[in-house]
Amino acid sequence: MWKKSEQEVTPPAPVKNVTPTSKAGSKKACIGAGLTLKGELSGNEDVIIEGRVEGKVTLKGHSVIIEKSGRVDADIFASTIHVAGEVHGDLHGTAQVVLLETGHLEGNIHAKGVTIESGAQFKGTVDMETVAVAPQPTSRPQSANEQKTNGSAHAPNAH
Amino acid sequence: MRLGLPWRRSSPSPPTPPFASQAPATKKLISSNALEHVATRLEDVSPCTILDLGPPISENLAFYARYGAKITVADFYRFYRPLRGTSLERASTRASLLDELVPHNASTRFDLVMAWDLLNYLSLDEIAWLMDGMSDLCSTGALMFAIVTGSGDMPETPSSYSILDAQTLLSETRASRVRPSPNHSEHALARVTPRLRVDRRFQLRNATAEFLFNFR
Repeated sequence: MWKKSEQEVTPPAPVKNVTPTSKAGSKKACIGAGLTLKGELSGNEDVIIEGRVEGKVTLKGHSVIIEKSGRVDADIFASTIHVAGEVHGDLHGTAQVVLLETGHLEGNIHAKGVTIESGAQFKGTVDMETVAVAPQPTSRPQSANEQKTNGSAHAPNAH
Repeated sequence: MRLGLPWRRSSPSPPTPPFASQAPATKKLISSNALEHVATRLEDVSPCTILDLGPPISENLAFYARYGAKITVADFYRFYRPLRGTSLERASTRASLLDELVPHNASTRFDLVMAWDLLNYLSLDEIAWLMDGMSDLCSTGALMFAIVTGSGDMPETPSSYSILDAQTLLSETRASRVRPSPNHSEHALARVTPRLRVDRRFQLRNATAEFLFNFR
């Protein structure tokens, strides 16, 4: 199913329902909290990551869930990606990327939909599908508390 | 689809402590006069390249994405706070710190910077350093939105702001403690940020003001 170049032998920990699970009935694999996987992880089923993954994760058409205990140093390609743990890498979600409250991401997000819960940590760029927007009224009479300032008077040392 | 700015991690970031206490959030609706000018900028510059210096907020990403903007989120204060105390005297240190804190590449030129209430939590020296560095990352005429508290107390850590629409913000504060506002005056800010000019100022309640700055 996956290519594993290195794997410690601690048995996987039971899956906890911390993050949303994928659609009922679909197969799910689990990288348990005691496991470290270095190399490329690819395949045709959903994966829950509770341990550590370094390298590249490619699960196109499937979901990846990084649990709170999970740590990933890899670019991830999948349909939906839920992050409750820590990720250093780019997330490519063809459907959606969800950064949960405990999630920590340093990397870029490429997805049609991005959801970020309050408290999540993120540093990087977001590339979202452009959504058509109805023109909003953006011009209205200057309000009473607006003070249009003369900028040059405030910055005599411009260079 | 708009292409985001590629940014690679250069080095592991320092561990960040829990950012805010688990106090229940205090939420407040803010009627904003500056946001419509931000929306106008998003409409006029296509695609608009945005740097959001606040925490990542889904509503804000959706708002920016409606305009096809290129979005960069830095969550500046959270990542800067553990590094505070780093000497900013050496130019090389200043530059490398900015590289670490603000995702960008050599061709990055931001058109819009959302600073939110960050300036309240930086000293004037830190503001001078940040804005000087930001000037090199922003296009001429780039707009920066900031909320500045003029007096009294303010939350111990920055609030998060969600854009509900082009006239309304929802502020969310989780800090349970308050601290005195630094009371940065417009004159003091102008003195330490010579590469910025104040374009508009909108006075809100509680001695707080929304500022729109232009990068020269």
